[in-house]
Amino acid sequence: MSETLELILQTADKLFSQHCNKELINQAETGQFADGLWQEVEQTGLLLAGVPEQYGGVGGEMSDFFRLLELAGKHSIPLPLADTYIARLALYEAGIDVPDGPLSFARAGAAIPFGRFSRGVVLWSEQELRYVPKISDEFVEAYNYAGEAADRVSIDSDAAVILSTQHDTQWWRGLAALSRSALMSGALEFLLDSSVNYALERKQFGRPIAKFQAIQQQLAVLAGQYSQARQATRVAALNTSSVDFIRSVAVAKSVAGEAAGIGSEIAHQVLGAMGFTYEHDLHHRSRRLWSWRDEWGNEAQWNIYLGKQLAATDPDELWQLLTA
Amino acid sequence: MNTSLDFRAVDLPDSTKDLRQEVRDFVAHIQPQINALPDSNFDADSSKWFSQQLGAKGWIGMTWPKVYGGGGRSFLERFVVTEELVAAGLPVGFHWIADRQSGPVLLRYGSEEQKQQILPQIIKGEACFCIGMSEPDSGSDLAAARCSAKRTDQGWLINGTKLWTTGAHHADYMIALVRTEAGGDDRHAGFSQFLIDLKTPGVEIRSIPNLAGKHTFNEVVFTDFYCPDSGLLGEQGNGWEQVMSELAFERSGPERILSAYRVLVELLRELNGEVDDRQAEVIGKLSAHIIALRRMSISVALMLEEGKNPALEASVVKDLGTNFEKMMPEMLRLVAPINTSERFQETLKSAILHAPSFTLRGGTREILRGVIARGLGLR
Repeated sequence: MSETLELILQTADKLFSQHCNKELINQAETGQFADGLWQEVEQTGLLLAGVPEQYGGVGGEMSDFFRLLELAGKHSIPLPLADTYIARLALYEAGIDVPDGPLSFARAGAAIPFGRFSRGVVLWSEQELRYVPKISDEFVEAYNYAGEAADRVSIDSDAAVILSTQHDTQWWRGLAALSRSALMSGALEFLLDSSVNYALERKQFGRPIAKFQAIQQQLAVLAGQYSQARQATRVAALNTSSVDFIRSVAVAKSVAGEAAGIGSEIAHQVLGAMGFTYEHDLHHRSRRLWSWRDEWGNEAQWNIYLGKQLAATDPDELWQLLTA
Repeated sequence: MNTSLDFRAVDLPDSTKDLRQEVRDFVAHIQPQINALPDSNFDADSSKWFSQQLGAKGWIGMTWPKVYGGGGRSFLERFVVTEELVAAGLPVGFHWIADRQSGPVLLRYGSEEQKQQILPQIIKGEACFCIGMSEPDSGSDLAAARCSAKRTDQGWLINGTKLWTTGAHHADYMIALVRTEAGGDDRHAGFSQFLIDLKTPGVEIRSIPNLAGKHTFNEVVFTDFYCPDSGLLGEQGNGWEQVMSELAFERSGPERILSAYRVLVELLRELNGEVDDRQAEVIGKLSAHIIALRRMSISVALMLEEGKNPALEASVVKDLGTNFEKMMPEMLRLVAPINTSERFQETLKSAILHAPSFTLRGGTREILRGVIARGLGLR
């Protein structure tokens, strides 16, 4: 790990621990933007991680930002960090002035994450990226499983600017999908920690439930799922300038999405009724996992994408592709 | 807690690319001379001739010191060779155990004499090893092993039975875990390892056909079997520690992911490029897992290279990997076309019939999950 990355992660972990708690996340669900936390993130320059210096960033690797997203997922940060980062990157590449404040990055025609709070949205389609600097105030307010704003809005296409970026649209979609994998990896880490701690504390039949093999076996599965999701995500994040980037995103989104389902099921089983309450903070992670695994392509969609690509090759050359 | 899960997103170094190409050229050259369908289940088939060819290339014992004839190469280079051979479905059974774990155990604990005598034979593909761990009353509970050795004037007198011993019927040597003293309160105390020459009298090897009708594992009975003093491997009484260190080598390699890989290859051949969404989804899902698991396995190989103890990570890879390889034929059979070739059917059949063993051999899924749970601090 580079020193810069270490510093970024330390700073972020400290900031997230100090400024984001259960109450703040709950408040965000009532439609309040976590403005204080947003200001802290901006002032600390976290969103400049892995942004090339030519765009005013701190340089480093793009994978640095995905590591930061793991932490954001772990802490359930109720801000559009991933979207703002990706949208800003698209604007930098297109040479367009980046406004202050949060931005959205959304599939054209789909819900716009944090739309009502955004200063602008970059709309993705197979053909192009378009930037809409001003979103109309006519929102149909809607929410994802985690209670995060995912608004419907009619876009004034006259105001849209087509972005001419160095990367193609597939790459941008890959970045968006990978951001969800990174968030999921972080949330899975929380699930593992939280379930292990609970199992060690909670006593039934006169001993901590951690002592029961049935619980141990489940948590071992969760540890495996988390490890696999994190590994695939980190591999893909190091691959952003490779020709195989989209393939590694497909892998990461597929295995992380699967881990989200398996992992949250296990954590909820271990935490029992306590974890099913609104009072407990498990649902901040599990509900986000259920949203993120569907955003920017669920497991099936990425598996089909990958499968079609691989099925088109000579079977005797499949191994070469898998090891590329 | 989870910080103890030390997976790193490392890739194989570029310096392994030439080696990989060399192995692929070798595979292309040798495959037509093998008279069996490719099978990526590493203990499906065994050929001394094949292992000798491999030995001649310097690809057995490749991480071992040159002084014993080894290659002095890295675990990452070994990883490249092993995964290429398994993916190609070649008959690696003859040298596999010796190359993976018996050799490393000998290197770590063996006497100079044992190393000089045995390692060069393994390296040439001429010595086959088997693992003497399980017994009739000792499966997952290895410490219940009862096979015993008593020191006498003529050497160690060994009595007992080893069971489920893969390849014993063509093996030259066994490394056996044997009780040399009563355990007492510490069940793990009193064990020693022995290097046993299976070609000496007093050992009886009985075939146990598996459910596929194949002869891979055996019962090995020692009746008043004399093992010379020089057969003691490592320190007397240190057997448990030695056997545990052996397991890390056994638990994380490509053979724990790819056992059913050839079914995927043969399904693609059947489909001939025409896939519907259902088929594509299965092919994609399985491939995604291969790619992800492989990178976890590489991370473990790097830990071995760095001299770290990857026991926890290796168990995670084996748990995920063996469950995955078991799922593979199950998913593929459901998307196969109605009419398939004999080649596909035979490949699928071998995978389905051998799949029950995938999550048993080398430590059951349940034992591995227990190891992981311990690593998480649960027990």
